[in-house]
Amino acid sequence: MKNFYLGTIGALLLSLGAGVCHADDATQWLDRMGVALHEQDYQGTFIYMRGSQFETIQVTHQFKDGRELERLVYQNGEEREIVRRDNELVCYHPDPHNADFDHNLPLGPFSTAFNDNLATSQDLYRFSLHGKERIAGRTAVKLKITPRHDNRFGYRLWLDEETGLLLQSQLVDRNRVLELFQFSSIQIGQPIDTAMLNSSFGDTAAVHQLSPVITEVAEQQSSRPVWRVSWLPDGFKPMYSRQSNLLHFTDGLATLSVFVEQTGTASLPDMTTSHGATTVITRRLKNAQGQITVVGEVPVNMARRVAESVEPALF
Amino acid sequence: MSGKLKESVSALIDDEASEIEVHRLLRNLDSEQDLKKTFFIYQQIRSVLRNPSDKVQRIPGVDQQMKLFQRISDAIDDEETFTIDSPTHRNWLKPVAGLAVAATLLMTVGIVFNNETGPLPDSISTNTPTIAQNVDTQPVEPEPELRELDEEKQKLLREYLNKHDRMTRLKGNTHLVNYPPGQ
Repeated sequence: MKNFYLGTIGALLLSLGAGVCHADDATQWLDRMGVALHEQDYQGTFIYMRGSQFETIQVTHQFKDGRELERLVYQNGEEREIVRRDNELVCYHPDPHNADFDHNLPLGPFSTAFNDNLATSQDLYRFSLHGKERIAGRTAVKLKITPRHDNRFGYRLWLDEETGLLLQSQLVDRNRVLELFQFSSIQIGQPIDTAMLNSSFGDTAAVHQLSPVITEVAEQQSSRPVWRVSWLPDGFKPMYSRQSNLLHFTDGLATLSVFVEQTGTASLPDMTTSHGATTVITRRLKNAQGQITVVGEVPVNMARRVAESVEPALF
Repeated sequence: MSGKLKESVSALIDDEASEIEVHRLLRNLDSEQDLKKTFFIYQQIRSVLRNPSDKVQRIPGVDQQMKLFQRISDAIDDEETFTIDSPTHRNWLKPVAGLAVAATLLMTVGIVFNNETGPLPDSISTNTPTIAQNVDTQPVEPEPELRELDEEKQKLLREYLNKHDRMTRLKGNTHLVNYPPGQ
């Protein structure tokens, strides 16, 4: 009988230990994913679905001499290509006369800062592994990121077993998929032809820069926001932003942006809407003319509380 | 009735509707007769799925449910309304209360019939992810809230979304700062 109890206690301890290893293993996989997102060479086609937006995009990614080079070719709608050199994004349109610069910018599900901020989110999410599945012809490890509280969304990730690269992801609210990213075909580790990393539209293409140029950073780096948010969901921390009318926050996974426009009249009516997992709320400023817009991958009630807590910052 | 609204009804019945979807449904409930019918049909399908097949189904038909809903709504309309300070509260509180009472009564009817016909079968789940419904072949419609905005305002809204996306997805744009939000 004594052996039975000892055996039971031993099994219990082993299972507890296995549970801890489980979480550790999951975070190790996330670490691998973070590195793979930057440093793997790959070519493939992925789909990205967010709300009513459904994009099919061809991607070529190369990590060379410490630099990330990438080209995205949009397969649906107006022809356009985005070429990335580290953080500089340039969009190319083949016809300069009929180019629509006012298009959405689906870049994929995760920030390149994803891995750096992940350490801050261990108290807010549970990480667990759930076996293997086949995605885009490759074996993938399934990983779940479950929020510990109701006030944020969860994630399901499928990472390439060999390299850790993200092959599929779902952003979920309880059981409901709000955003989907999935490679339909991919080649990893093959040599990349340099021509595949440049726009194919030639010299006559319309070109527009999507990211601010570096000099703007130096000019505005010391600027502090003139607005503050007096309430944030647990775990959200402020991030540096280049503009004093923009506040940006993250809990390591989800992000929130607060735009404050001090125009004479509000440009948009007070409204609440969503685009996939992204909630957008606009409100008139309290005791001042202008408008607040909160955009983030958080539930509506969280975004609303954030919007209502915006007030002028006093230094 | 749009596919989006149908999807929201399905989500509501599966208890997966977001706050925005519930608001959208309530907003359209009075004007769209088809929406009510769809709600009751889905409710009926759900009840049928959850009842064992070896007993006689005694779930009220859609027409009966519509009539019941109408009677409940009329009764609520006849009720004396309490005065609330904010007029905006009064606007949405009444349909919410109406739908809640009607839904509760209908659910009660469902529960009564469920109890009569036995426990729920384990093999049927209505709680599946709704991703398949999102990828249907219908033409993609903009969100109703976005559709109400004119072109210029839609453009502005897209600009905010794109700025947020760029902030989120580009490492060089963001790093954690050590001053708290209150400073």
